Amino acid sequence: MLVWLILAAVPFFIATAFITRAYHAQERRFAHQWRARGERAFSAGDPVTAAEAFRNALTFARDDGELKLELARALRASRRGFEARTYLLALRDEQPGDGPVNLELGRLAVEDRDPTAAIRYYHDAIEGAWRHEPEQARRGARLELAEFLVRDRVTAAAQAELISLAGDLPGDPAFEERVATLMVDADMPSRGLPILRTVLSSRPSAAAAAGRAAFALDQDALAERYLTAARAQGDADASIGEMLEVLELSRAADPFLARLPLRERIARAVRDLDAALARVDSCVNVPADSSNTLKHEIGRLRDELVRSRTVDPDLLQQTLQAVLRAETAAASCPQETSSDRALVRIAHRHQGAAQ
Amino acid sequence: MKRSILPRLSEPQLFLALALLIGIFSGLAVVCFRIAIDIAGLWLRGPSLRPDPARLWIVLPVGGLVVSVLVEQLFPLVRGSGVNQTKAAMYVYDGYIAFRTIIGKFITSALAIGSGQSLGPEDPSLQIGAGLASAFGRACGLSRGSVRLIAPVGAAAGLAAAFNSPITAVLFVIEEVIGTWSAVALGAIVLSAVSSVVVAHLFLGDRPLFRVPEYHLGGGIELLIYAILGVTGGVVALVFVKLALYLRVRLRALPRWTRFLQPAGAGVAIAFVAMWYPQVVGAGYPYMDEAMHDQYTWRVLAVLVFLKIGTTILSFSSGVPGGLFAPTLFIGAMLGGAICGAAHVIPGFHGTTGVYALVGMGTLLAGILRAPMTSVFMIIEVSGNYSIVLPVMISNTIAYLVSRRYQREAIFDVLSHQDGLSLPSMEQQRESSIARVEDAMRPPPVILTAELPSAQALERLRAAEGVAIAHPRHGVWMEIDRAVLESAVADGKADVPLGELLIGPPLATLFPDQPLDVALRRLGERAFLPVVHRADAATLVGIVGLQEILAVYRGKPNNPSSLIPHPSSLNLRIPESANDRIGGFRIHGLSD
Repeated sequence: MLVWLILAAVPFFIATAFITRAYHAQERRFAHQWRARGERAFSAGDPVTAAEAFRNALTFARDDGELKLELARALRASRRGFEARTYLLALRDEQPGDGPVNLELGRLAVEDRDPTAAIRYYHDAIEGAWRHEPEQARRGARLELAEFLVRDRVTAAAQAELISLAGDLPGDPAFEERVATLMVDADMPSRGLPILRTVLSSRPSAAAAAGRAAFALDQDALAERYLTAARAQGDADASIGEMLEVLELSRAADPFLARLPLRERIARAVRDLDAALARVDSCVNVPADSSNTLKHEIGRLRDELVRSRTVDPDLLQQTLQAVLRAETAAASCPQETSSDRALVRIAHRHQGAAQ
Repeated sequence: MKRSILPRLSEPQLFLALALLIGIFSGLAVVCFRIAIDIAGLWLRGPSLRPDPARLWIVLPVGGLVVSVLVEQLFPLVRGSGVNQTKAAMYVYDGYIAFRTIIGKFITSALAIGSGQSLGPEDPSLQIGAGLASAFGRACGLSRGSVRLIAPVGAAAGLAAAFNSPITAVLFVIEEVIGTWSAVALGAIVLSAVSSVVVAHLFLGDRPLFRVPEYHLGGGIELLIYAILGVTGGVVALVFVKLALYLRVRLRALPRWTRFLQPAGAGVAIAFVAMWYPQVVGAGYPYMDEAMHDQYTWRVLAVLVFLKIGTTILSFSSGVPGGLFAPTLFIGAMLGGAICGAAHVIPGFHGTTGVYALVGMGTLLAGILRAPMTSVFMIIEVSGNYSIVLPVMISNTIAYLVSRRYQREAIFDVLSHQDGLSLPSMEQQRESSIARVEDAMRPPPVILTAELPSAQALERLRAAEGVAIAHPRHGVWMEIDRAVLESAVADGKADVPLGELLIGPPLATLFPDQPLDVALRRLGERAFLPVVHRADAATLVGIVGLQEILAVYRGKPNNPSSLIPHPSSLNLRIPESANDRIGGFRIHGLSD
């Protein structure tokens, strides 16, 4: 009888294999159908339906990590980050070095405004494994991280990421423009401007960032050219107009500008002092003793300028220093105008020159 | 003359070979059973986690009606979970389970669970395995005793394949079906469980049933929450068990024709609940997975606990074939998740829902099925996560104690009583204290040494009212034959040492902690046997005779445990050579 049982096990085994195979094929079909439905919904901007479809797909393909990742993305897009995180953490537990999983976790950390976690997950994503176009994916992840850090004003960390990116630019003008723009935003205009200038021919939209970089670097002519070009392209950024105004005002208020007549230099210096005095007067935040000291000094310099018959560079320098002190003292008051910004810009520029 | 292909096997060898075959067949059968349930679910409820409510309104009642007709007309023995039926086969029917019952269990359970009845596939798998084993055992001509033992072997195989967890299956069958760690059965059970899991792995994959991230205990606050989970789990288990038992009695008391309608009625109730909470439909494994992945708020989880209790009780009490394992795990997962979610209001608490859901499963298993060891090992095995063991043990123990405190008998024991059977309660069997030698022994008698002259020995024997024991060598104790002694003295051998007159083999010795039935077996025709200390066979702590043994069995023990000397009073030494063990004659205990 034992022999018969052993023999009977063979057809039973084969029959079970056949049934299992057929059932698994059916499971795969259902998983595929639900997945396709989910992907369509996700592409159509309906992450809630997509999440539901991906969940259904998962019941037929429980081990499919890609599907879990898609579900997590749909959940995140449905503003159900908490639920998405659980799936992602489970996936990370299984594959700690998976690039896409860490990237999604990084994005969740960004949504939570948690720079520490974001940096950790994004770095794991950058150093992790990617199945498709790994170099591009890693660069994209680093760029996302840099964008978040710049936006969240974690400047030092952002600069580190941007420097890494600049050393590995792919030759894609759009990507390079984004990197360089972020560099400008992360207080690295000197690194961003050369990149922007190289991509300008193919990416005219880079003019605004290039203008901002040149503006920050006190390259007024270049800044004016790029900002004007940006405005001509229809860039609606209000800051472009403000920067152009500041450039124009600083050109009109700079007493050191070349080829100016003597009277004009003195008149400009006097006007600058008057504007600084008005700023101090209008700002209630300036302490009384500082205000009095500044007013006294501005008055003295004004008198000296009015009396002077020649252009004394030292006197002009003292004038701009007094203007800078007055503007600095009133910096806490919100009513800073383009004129004030122009004065500060002129003072800074010539203070640097004098030094 | 016909010749067998295989060499002729002895019964133990045949038993083991059959265990292996039973494992393979059970594994294959359970794989087919699981697929049958899934296919029935796909056909009847559709391939969505949120089935169309209109469809459920048709499928659940009609499915219930079909199942009840099949059960009442064709397969009357497939009602219920299958655990008690397997126990009954072992203890009442000499291991006999009809093949028809296996077929019936397969079909009706697949249809019931597939249509959405709130029951699980594990207990039926257990019965299917047991049924196959019983059929094979009978076909191979095993003795009645072996056929009785082979059913649990199949049960373990069926359960192991259903849960993808051999340790759990072995423990459950030992804890709930057999009740003892018999070496013969254990080897076969392990063999069949492992072979069935290997087969199941081949077809269904080897991933754990649940997967949660690596767990780290988050300090004292977490221990407190696990303790709360244990208490709550115990209470929930009590509610479940008491309601299920009460409703089952009530429904069985109704006229017989209502049995055709009861599963359909349960189906209507489940369809109604599923309009808002489709998670209560079927075994519920995908929803457990969702709960473990934070897909529900703690309030939803708490609601699901009560809804699943209600729907499972309705399905189970109405006689639908299906198991309690999966619903128990479902309720536990939801309870654990709910408590974890609610506990997040406590500052500094960072518990993970998945881990609490997993611990909750074990908690309810310990509380409802009252199999504490199984519940701990099962959670470790189904999650593949050993780090979870500490919270599981805390929570399970508390739930088990709470449940036991307020529900004297375990659910399977009460169910067997309701069915008119007196199956042995494994819980009571585990906890019953066995009578030991120390409960029966009386104080040591006079001990006479071998060099004592016969006349003096006879004198002392008379003074000791005929009860004395000779101790000729270290650890050797001999009975003194009074007639021989008297004859020797009468023959003028008064100075002959006692040792020369001692005849016959030494007395068998007993230890105080040995079961009393051992004493009974060894006693034979002797009047008494010496009870010696385990640390020193030369130390006599008492003697035990037939009268004392019977007194214990009659419930009137001597209770002389205080006679056993403390080891510190024995002046023990480790023997260095054989000579030490048979050294000179010594007088011990109460001897002169």
